[in-house]
Amino acid sequence: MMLLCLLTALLGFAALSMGMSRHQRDVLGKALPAARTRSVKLAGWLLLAASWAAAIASDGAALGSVYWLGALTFGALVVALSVTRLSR
Amino acid sequence: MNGGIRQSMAWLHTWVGLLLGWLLFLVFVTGTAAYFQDEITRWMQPEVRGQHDIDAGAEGAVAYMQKHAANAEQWSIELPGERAVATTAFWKEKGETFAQWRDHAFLVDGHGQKVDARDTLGGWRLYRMHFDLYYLPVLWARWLVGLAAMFMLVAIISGVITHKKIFADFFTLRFGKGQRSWLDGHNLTAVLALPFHFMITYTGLVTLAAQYMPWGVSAAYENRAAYYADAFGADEAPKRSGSNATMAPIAGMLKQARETWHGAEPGYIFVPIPGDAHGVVKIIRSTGAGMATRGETLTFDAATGVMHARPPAPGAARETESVMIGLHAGRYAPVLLRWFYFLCGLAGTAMVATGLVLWTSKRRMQLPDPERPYFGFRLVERMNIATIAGLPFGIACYFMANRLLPMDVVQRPNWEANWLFIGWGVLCVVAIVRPVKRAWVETLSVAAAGFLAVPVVDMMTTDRGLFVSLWRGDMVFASFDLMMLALAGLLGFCAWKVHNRKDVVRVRRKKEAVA
Repeated sequence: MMLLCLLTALLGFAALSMGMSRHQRDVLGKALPAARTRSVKLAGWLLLAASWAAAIASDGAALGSVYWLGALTFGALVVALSVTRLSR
Repeated sequence: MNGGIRQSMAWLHTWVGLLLGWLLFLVFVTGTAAYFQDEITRWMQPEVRGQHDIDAGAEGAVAYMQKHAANAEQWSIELPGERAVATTAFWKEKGETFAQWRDHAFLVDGHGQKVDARDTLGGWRLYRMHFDLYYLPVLWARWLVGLAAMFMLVAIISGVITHKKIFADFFTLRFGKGQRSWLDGHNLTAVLALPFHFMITYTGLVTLAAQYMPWGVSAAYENRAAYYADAFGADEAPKRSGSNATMAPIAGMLKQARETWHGAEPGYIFVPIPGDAHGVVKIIRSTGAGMATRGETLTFDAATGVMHARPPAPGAARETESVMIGLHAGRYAPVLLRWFYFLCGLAGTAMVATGLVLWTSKRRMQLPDPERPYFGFRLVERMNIATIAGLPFGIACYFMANRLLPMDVVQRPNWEANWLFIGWGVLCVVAIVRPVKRAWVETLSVAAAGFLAVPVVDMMTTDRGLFVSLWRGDMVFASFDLMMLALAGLLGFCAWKVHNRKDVVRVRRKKEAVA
């Protein structure tokens, strides 16, 4: 369950980063259509919510939330470094 | 103040951050290390063997003191936390103060045997340095650290306000662009770990709130003792009866304590007036057994082992404080969460370091005479080198001193700490006398070499070196050595980066010459 929390946090931030025009240009080399951008963003937020749900299901509301915040920081750092690495 | 709120906040952020940045760097480094203080202590006491076993430790400690300290005024036993092995116990003879506790301290290993380990304070020293500093009176140190924490809170809030593109820059890290890159790094490590930074600063202030904000207590209570008795329960020592009684087995009391706490482990045992018929045994819940760190105290009749009535549950205010301190120290955190704490601590360390470097990076381009910067600029530049490269090297020296100091040196734990500051001091001198770029490369390289040397020295002086630990599956020792290598790699990488960097001032000169 904790692994799921980590994974969804990571994917959620990856989707959110791909919902930003700057990173679309840098990583994909082109801008996505507006509708695609919107759905990618929505998916990102939903994944982050799922990540919180997974953490709560695994460790309860209190401890789970602390885990979740940790997973968010970890996920966002990994995504930021990957975006930098993948930028062309 | 003229200019908008962003400008005034930027000013506040810059100067508040700079003024106590170096102290904050130390607080972050030692605090981050302290998340693994039990593991560090284990590494620093290689003589302690066996597995974590609370009952064996408690029984071993009690048996030893029954034999050697039967007439002491009090026995104190610190049971091993979940990730520790050694039980630390000490007794107090009549007329002694608790400041002398080390005179009668001893260690019990995971098999319940007293063990003669090297004298060290291990990871606990780094933990205390996080808020008590060193060489300074504790009260002054805590005021200083509290001031730094208050500044940090101001810097976080003003930083969020002044950083206008907080969402647009969320994942942005551009390398090799001078000032821009430092700003990216500073923003990234700050924003991505923001929940941690805010939590850790606020709860850090709460841990010592009664010292920083004493007026509420002095308005409501006649003296501090009355406040403590009210807040944390009166702790009256039992009166001696004069007749002796043998103590009931400690294991039975530990079992009752666990049952009362639904399986939570005990952390401390206090036995005032041991051996007396009126004696009691106090068992305190482990600080790591829940998010609330102030554990309940259960009292047992020493002679019979019967538990007294439970104290009333703590009120909401006390429980809130207890949870906040628990969140700060992370003693409850299981291994994955502990690594998250560690990662966030590293991000905080990087945030402070990049912020400090940013101050110089921003001003270097605007220097009236780049060859001869004004005094303030040079001071900040040198302080940055001395702190950012010097302190890590000092910590590497602390670990090496643990292995290399003779076993019978008087006040060995203090000498370990002295070596931390000797190593740091040497790099301070290098940072002052060498040209700036050379000073960065040299100090970072020395620090990298220091961490590289730790596992090597360990291998040569103990039978628990990296390869043996890996072979035996001793993950605590292996991880420690691997972490040293990782830190060596990180510092070495930084040194290499600085070495390859083009000299900004010269590049600008060339451009001007061409134009």
